[in-house]
Formats: sequence, structure tokens, C-alpha cells
Amino acid sequence: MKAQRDKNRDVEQVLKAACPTGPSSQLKRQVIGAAKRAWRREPQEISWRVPLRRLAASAAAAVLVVSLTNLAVDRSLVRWQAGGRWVASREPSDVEAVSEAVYAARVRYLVGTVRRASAADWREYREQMQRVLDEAQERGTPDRPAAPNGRSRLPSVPVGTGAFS
Amino acid sequence: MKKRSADDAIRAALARDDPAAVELIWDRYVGDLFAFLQAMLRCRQDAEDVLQMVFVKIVRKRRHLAGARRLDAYVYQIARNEASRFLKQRGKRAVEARDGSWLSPAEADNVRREWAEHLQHALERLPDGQREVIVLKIYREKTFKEIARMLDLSANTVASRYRYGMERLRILLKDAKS
Repeated sequence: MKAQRDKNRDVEQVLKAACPTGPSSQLKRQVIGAAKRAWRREPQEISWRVPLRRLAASAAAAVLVVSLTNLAVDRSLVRWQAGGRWVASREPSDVEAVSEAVYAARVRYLVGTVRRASAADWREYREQMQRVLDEAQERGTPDRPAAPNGRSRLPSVPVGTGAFS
Repeated sequence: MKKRSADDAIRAALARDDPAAVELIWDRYVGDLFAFLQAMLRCRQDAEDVLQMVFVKIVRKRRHLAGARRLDAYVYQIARNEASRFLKQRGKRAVEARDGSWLSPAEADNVRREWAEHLQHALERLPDGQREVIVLKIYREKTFKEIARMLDLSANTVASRYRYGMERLRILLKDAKS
């Protein structure tokens, strides 16, 4: 320990042959002048303003966070709905577009027949269907309703659209 | 005790928002601060530039300085940050040719001037932390406790930096002599 201290003392003596120079009086004038200019330019903040400014900054940050969260939630909801649960999108069908297909002639016939059927015919068909289903429900038989003559009791589709069924 | 009363006078001037605080800070800190900056930057001119930046920063942060628990640690922290920023910026731009000497001989003759240059080169080869501690200990005659307080380090860290620095210096100076 003592030997170490003696060795250090030798090096210390050597190092003391030189030293870092101190600041000049010109530097003092320059630095103090710059510091005082900065002092005048930036007056010290009034003490009550500091917590007020912090409060305003916190409130602004809170509003920003809430707004961003709302925006993010809205965007993710829209994306989820558009993903197929609620919003069903369907490409419009164009019968003319299938003219090249193998069954184009039959499809065109079918569509034409359906279009020709009047609204009254479809309403009647729907009511008949409803009646049949109600009766089946009252009987409590899950099987398809059978007609007495062995044919289906389901009403036939109006205006011969069943031709291809 | 004298230092504590100087710190109290600085705090009082800062509390009054009195620009005279700048002179009080200069008188209290500039000797150690300038040596510290020279040790950190290894160039007198750079140390002068950074010293000015440090004082302007102290003025801008005077409200925090007035409330600081340890005035000296706060001042040295500002000095360290400004010097680091300066070094980073200087690393980015092209380095101008500047006078690098920051160690002067006690007496101005050629032999001593040459020896001072050797000492400076040896000190520059030390890691920054060791060089800062050695400069403050030897040239500013600070105790380990004082250096630890100034640099916000433990006294043991300061002592070990000093010991390792001195060992390395001994080897470097032996090489320079031979």
C-alpha cells in the first residue's frame, strides 16, 4: 500500500511539471457577457405559470390519447364489419355475361320466365308455402309433408319455372 | 465551508433572479470546470467554446439550478452533457485544425515545454474517466470525496479510476523517458 502510494507520488511529481492553463480575463468577459445576454433574453418563468403549463400540457396529452384511441377503435370496427359479418356485399349478376356458357340458353329462359311471373303470382306462392309450413309445424312432424295422392303438397313454382327443376 | 457559503450566495442570487449570479458561479466553479473541460475535450480552444455553452445553459436552467440538491453536481452534469454534445457534433463535421495543447509547463523553457507535451500525450492516451479524475486530483488538488461529489460517482469508483490511471501513466511515462 505504502509502496503504491510512493510510486503514485513519483508520478504526481512528474505530472506537476505542467498544468492545464486557466481561463483568460478575455474569456471571462466573453462568457459572462454571453450568459447575461441569455439571462435578459429568457426571463425566469413566473412560478405559478409552471404548474399551470404542466396541467395544460397533461390535458392536451390526455385529449390526444383519447382521440387517437377512439380513432383506432372506429377503424378496427369498420374493418371487422367489412370483413363479412355484417356487411354482405354481392356482385351484381348480369345474365348477358353468361351468354358464352354451356347452359346459356337455358339460363336465359329461366330468368325470362321468372321475370314474366307477376308479383301477385309470387305472393300467392309465398302464402301457400307459408300455409304448408304452418300446418307441418302444428302437426309437429319434421318430415316433409306428404299429399294423399303421393305427390308433394308443396305448391308448384308459378308459370312453369319448375320445368328445369 | 467557504464553498458551501459560495453555493448559498449563488442560490440566493438565483432566487432573486439576479444576473450577478453568473459572476458568482464563475468565481466558484470556473477553475475546476475549465480544467475538467480541457481534460475531457483535450483542446484548450474547444474547452473555451464549451465553457461559454455551459454558462448559457446554466442561465437557461437557472430555475432548476436554484432548486438542485447539489449545486456542483448539477453544474458538472451540464458541463459533461455540453462537452459530449460538442464532441458528437465535431465528429459529424469536418474537424478544423485547432491548437490542441492544453497542458502548459510550469516554467517556459524548451525542455520543459517538450516534457509538457509528453505528459499531455500520455494523459490523452488514458480513458476519459481516468483522465478526468487525475486532472482534478493532481491539478485542482481535489480529494476523492470531492471528485465523487462533483462527478456524481462513488468514492471507490473515483479511487480505482485514479489508481488504474496512475499505473498506466507510469508505464507510458517510462516509455517516454527511455
